[in-house]
Amino acid sequence: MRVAVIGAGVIGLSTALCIHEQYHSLVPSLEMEVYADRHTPHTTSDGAAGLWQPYLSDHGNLQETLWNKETFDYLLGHLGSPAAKEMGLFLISGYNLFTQLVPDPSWKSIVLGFRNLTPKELELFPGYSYGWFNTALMLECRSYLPWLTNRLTQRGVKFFHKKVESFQEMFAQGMDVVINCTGVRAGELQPDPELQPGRGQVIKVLAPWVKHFIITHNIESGIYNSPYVIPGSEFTVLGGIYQHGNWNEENSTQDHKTIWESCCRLLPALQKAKIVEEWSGLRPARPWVRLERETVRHGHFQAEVIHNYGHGGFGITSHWGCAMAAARLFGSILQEKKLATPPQPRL
Amino acid sequence: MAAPKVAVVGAGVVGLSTALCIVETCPSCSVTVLSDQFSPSTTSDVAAGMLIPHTYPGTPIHVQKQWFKETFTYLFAISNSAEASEAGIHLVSGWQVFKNTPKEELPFWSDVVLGFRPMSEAELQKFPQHRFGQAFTTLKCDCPPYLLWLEKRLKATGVQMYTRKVADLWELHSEYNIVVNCAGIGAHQLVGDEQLFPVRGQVLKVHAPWVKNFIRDGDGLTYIYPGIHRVTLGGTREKESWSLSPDPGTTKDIFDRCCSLEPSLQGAQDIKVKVGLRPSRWSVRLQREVLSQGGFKLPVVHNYGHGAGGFSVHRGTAKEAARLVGECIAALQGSSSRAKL
Repeated sequence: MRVAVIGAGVIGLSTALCIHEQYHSLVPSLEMEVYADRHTPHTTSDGAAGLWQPYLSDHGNLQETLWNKETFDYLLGHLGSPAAKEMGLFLISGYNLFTQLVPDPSWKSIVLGFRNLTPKELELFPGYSYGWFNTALMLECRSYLPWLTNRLTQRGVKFFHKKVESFQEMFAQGMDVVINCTGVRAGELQPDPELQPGRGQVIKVLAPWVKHFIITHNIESGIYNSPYVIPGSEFTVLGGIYQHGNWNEENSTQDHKTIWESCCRLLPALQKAKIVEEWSGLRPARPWVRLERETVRHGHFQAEVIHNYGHGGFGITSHWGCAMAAARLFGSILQEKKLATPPQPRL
Repeated sequence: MAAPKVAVVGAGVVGLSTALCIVETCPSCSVTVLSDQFSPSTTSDVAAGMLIPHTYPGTPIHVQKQWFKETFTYLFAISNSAEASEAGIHLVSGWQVFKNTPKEELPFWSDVVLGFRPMSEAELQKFPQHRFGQAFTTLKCDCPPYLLWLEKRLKATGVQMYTRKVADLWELHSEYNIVVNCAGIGAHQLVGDEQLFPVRGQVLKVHAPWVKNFIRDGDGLTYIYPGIHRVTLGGTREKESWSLSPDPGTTKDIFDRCCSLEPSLQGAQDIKVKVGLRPSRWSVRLQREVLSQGGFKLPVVHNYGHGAGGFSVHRGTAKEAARLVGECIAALQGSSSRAKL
């Protein structure tokens, strides 16, 4: 059974690991390969700050909330393990700020210690009249992706630096199942008008005195179009750009100015921070995540594709729940092919 | 008195902040700081600088609360300004956890820090050996940056600072009109205060930049305080120990205790060990005294004995000390005008 995973961002690598962990012992013939033209540190995931936080509203998409919860709980369980540091995983507390009263988010009971801000705390943020405080998780992909790559390599999964031009190309090579984790460029393999880039730009600075994330929200401008500050283990990420439909991966001077000025207004202490790097990336935005099976004709054969893309600005936030869902789809493929005994019920 | 000459003995957080308060309240004063140690060799440099008060049994609670509130307000404003990183002041959130529920569930300072509340069940799960906890956000003063920032502000106002070991306050009487004693643990020898005793603290300062929250055991012995560049791991409270030498067995014990609270610390790098002697006392000695010898008088303001809580109340006690200096000046002016009659 030959499986090709296309895409080596957080979705591709975690889906690969999840499937391999669950099915390798059940399917001794399982051979898995990962194909991507960009590997860490050049993936979209690598540019993200790595904060676990879903959007404010799940738009009634309970499925996504469950994936987010599953991811949070999975990561929380790994916090105390020796692997945490290598994974780039740690707890972080911080603020979400609003200019008006908003309903509590779907994830208020998932994160730790969720509460509203006190008047004294709001004094720190002139211009904002309402907000939340909670403790969440950081998962830095420039550590997590290499960690996933190591786990996969140890399991005998092979990696290829290659741009896959079509699903057919994979099937012609003998792949039985293709896992499509191609993120923002999924449209190149199969047109998808729902998938659009949500361009973001960030400035990475040295500001080790910042210990909290601060995410501001402007209901009119929309998600991520309002300044945010997210401290990592080495750098602090300043951002606040979301441009729907913009494919440009070049840094924009105007966006730099917007980010820098609005973040310094938010946190005056940042004025003294040293700028280390600037980066632009394309969030793979979609009204909802495409996580489903598709049977594709390949000559006389039927081949299977599992799509797992379109995670917008919450890929890290939802990745493990999605990987588990993809693994369930994989399991159903195996059952149909009668290649594996069904998993034992959990006691 | 044209320009009263004030000597401040001691250049830790109390000495420097007191000197600054005196300059602020008495612009005509000529202030000089004298100390045998300056940053990075003061007791303050060893401390994490967390704003979590220590309770002095001999000082009324409302006074301690006022000192803490003044200090917190002062530092809060700096933390929110462009000077924050230079001054080493930053906000930090975290948890104080207890193995046994404390008698006092609400400490006197709970409404001064930010967002104080009991920890949720989910938060407590991270600490399986602890049954109760409090979550809040407070401030941290990183040293050396804070002390260096205070020194810079003092120099900008013309304050002179000299390395000098003062053996006896009286030796200053010919050069200065008023002496302010902020000698910390040095006051034991300097003024022979038998009520002042060291409480030895050993700490580790480690590189673990992924630690963003503080964790403190309510017993005050084990704590993890993330600073700008290093995380302070503590600690010990050894009464009457004068030893400034790091003890390797203690280092291992501190490290193990902290790792059991925060397992990721196993990956901490570049462990540096430091020792400080908390200048401990039943109450902070914050009072005037007049020394006299052979017809000469020397007004003294004492401001020492802050023990484990120096950072938490430094600005509040400094302001009070400056007010007492003002009283000394008024008294000197009163007596000099009487002398003219």
